Amino acid sequence: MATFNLLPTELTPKGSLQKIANLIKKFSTIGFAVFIVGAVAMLSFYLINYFQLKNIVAEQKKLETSVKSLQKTEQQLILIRDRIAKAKTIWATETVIDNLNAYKKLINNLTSDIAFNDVAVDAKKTALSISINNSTSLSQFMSQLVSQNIYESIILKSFTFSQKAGYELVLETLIK
Amino acid sequence: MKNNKLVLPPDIKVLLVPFLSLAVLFFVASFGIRIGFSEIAKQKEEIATVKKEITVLSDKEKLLKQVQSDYSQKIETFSQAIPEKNPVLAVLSQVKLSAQNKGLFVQKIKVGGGVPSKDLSTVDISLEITGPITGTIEYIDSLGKLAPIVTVQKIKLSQSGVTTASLNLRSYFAPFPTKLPTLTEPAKNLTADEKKIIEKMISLTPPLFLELVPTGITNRVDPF
Repeated sequence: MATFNLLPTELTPKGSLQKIANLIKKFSTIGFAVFIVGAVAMLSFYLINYFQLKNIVAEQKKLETSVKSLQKTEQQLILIRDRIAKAKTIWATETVIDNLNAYKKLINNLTSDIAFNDVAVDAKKTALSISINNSTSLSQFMSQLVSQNIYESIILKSFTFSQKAGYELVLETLIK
Repeated sequence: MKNNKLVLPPDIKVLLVPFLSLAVLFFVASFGIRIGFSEIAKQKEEIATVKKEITVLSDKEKLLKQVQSDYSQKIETFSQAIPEKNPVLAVLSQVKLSAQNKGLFVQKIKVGGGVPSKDLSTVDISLEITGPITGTIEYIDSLGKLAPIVTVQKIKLSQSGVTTASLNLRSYFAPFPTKLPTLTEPAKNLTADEKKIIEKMISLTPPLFLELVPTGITNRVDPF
């Protein structure tokens, strides 16, 4: 059967334009489909994140409550840290004990004819006043003093000898 | 009769609907994508922040529980080592008791004014010890193991039969910290060096305090 187009020819669009229109229609249909799929994916992603956030916020609140319940311990920790820092400062400045230990080492090996009269120990130095009966003990003491290898310097402040008291030395020692 | 209808040429009419639908698609898609992405980015940012806070809180909880089990019972040791207020009485008691235990005689006790400071205040004490040399040196050594912390500033030993030691001591006190960090501020673990100092502080001999227990109500005898 023959087909008739009764429309006037001036009302019919051009064939090429009709093709472009069809192409755009196809493009928009595919675009809408892609958009819908994308929107659903985005919404799913959003919902997944939403529930994840909800869960971790609940976990955070639980931890906050737990940490708040340990506030007394936190105060204790701050006190401990504060006292540690202060004790560190105090003990770092204490050097008299080092000088005293050096003096202890020295008196441990003394013979009976060596006597310490006066000893003054401070953070920087030790001043010693020693009486020694004879020259043998004096040389032994001096060699012992040097061989200990703990002194940075040994200054002989005075050296006296008398028949009655023997040798009297005043030394100033600085430990390393 | 006049026809008011806008008559579009067929070439334009055929393209109008597809172009309009394409424009709507671009419009909706651009808005949707922009809003969707910004919301998801916000969520991601929020998740990252919360996760970070969870890590901080979790570490803090772990550390605090550790501190609670390790040091909670010994917390007094730290406040005794460096007290809040001038510890001169406790120091004198400690110094005398320690000398007594070593058979030494304490005399000429003098307490200096001390140096007040916001951070660490000091109080100076001088005293004289009489006794044998070995006991005196042991005693000076033992001063470092007392709480409140005492440091020896100067020693003068003179020996004529018995040893007399003049000691210049210094003790320390400091106000307790008053500020707590915020809840989400990270808490640092105690370092090995800090743990070493803690052990040293715990090993200090604390002062002895007498606790006077109040007596209960007793029946009074009627004097009449």
